Amino acid sequence: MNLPEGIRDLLPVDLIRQEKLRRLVLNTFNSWGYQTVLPPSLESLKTLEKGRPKLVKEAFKVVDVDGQLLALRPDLTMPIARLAATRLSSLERPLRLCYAAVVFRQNKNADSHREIYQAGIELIGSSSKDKPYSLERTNKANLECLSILLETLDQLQIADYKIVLTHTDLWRYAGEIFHRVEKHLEMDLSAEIDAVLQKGDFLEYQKVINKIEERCKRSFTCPSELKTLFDSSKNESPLNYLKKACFQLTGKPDEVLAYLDSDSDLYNELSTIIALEEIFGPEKFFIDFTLRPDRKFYTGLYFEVIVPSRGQSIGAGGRYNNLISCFGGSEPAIGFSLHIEALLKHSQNPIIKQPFDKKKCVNISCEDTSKQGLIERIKESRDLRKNVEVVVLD
Amino acid sequence: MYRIAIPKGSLLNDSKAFLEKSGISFEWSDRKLLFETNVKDTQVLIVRPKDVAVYVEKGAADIGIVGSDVLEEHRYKTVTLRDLDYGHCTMVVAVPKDSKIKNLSSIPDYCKVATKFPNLARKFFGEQGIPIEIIELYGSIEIAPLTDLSEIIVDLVGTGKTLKENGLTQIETISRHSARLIANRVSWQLYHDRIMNFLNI
Repeated sequence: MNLPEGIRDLLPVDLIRQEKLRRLVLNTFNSWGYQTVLPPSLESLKTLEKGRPKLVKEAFKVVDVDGQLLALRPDLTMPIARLAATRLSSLERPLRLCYAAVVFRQNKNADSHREIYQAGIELIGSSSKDKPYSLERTNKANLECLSILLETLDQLQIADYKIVLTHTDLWRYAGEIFHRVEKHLEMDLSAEIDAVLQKGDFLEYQKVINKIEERCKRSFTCPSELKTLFDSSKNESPLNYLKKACFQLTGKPDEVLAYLDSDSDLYNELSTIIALEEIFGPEKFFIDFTLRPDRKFYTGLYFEVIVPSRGQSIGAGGRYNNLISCFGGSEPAIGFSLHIEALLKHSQNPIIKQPFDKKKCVNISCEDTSKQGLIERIKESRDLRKNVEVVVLD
Repeated sequence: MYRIAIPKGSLLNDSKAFLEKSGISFEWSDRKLLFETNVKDTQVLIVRPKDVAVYVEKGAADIGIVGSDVLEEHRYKTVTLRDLDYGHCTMVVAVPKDSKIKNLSSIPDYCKVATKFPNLARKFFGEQGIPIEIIELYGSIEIAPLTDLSEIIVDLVGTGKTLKENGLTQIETISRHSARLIANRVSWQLYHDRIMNFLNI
């Protein structure tokens, strides 16, 4: 009787700790005014296609008796967004919702888990009806969301964690350059750049930039606006920006911010986030230009939580201002989710690390198995339970 | 703990020299696989080339040195930082000297191809529109056509000496390769300064 790959039974010893962690995490979320919701395990495949087409491939599909295609939820943000845009659309904004639940994903890599326990929050909408997308509102929501994240990680005593930030606007400048080149040289650069950076191949990235340079130089009909792309007399030519972006726009926040225009919204947004270090301690943030989130989904800030000696992130989140409008009116939104199993592994909080305490358990031996004897023992155990956590009939 | 994975085999000596230039040295011993170094909290591990990528992908090693052939054969979730410009070699198509196959166009349909690089070989012949049958081996590819296991081979060639000694001749070059410096994505973020130091040596 083999279990399919990527799924497992949770035994009491795992579940006791998981339950404690869930409670602690949800308590933190609740204390910021976030209310727990639980969307259904199954969702119509059409809804998923509408909200997060990228996850369709990874979702487990199920056929119901009517032949309708359903998906086991591969994520909780999408169903919560649906809920916000439909049943909860008339509630006061912002909506503050949180969850701790399981999602199902199938990945080609056989080693990855298919049943993933997640906990997270979603902050949807804004109390400002006139300017819900203003920089001030964005900053406020960013800070609220990241403060909850940092507080949760501190509560769990996750050692030496870091939040890696990136922003779609870091790419906007690059995107504009690519767009101009693409138009003139008929090259499909964005897709190529996406592919090399998703592969994490910075060498190939440089090669693509060099290719642009070559094509610009060789092109006899090169329009004057393209010439500025490789004009080395100017230190800050757009192509130089692209060449250096990989390494210069990746690093400690103050180093990266030094390259940005301090009057820009992007500078304002990132430096506001970094100011959280005043509360949560230094060196909590890192900026990584090469991090490539799903650009169809994330519309601004994107972040991942990392810890030493674990080669992958333990949580991620960001701004997704376009999702709610897939199901109803347009609203800004931001949220994050954390991997519960990873948190369990890295939490140094003694309450969570400690397994079940046997001292709290009392056994009553039931040698007399007559009717009256058993009734007496059960009465006795009920009395004992008023003071002792666990009483077992032996 | 900060770990550097370097590959056994042809890239080993150059990789040791590269680390030394970066200020990291360790006392070599034949059978040892994990070494403490002169730098505090820094270890070097020596594993098979393909395993370098696995150690780095999973975060058991923070950075590693590996041939670009390994990275192209299989996609690992690592970041590639630098071409180290040593260990140059080429991926070639080779046949026995007396074979009827003289070039790509004389390869018969469903020809048997022995290789350690099934994905790269499949990709190359796919792009050429030549239907083939892959036979995946783990080493000594050169004897496959000599024993009729396959008609042609796809293999990595440094000097071409091994091909020659086994009576094989190259009919096509598929790609060129050299050593790459790779890092785990999280390590690249966590130990950014240390890793950036390796980029300017």
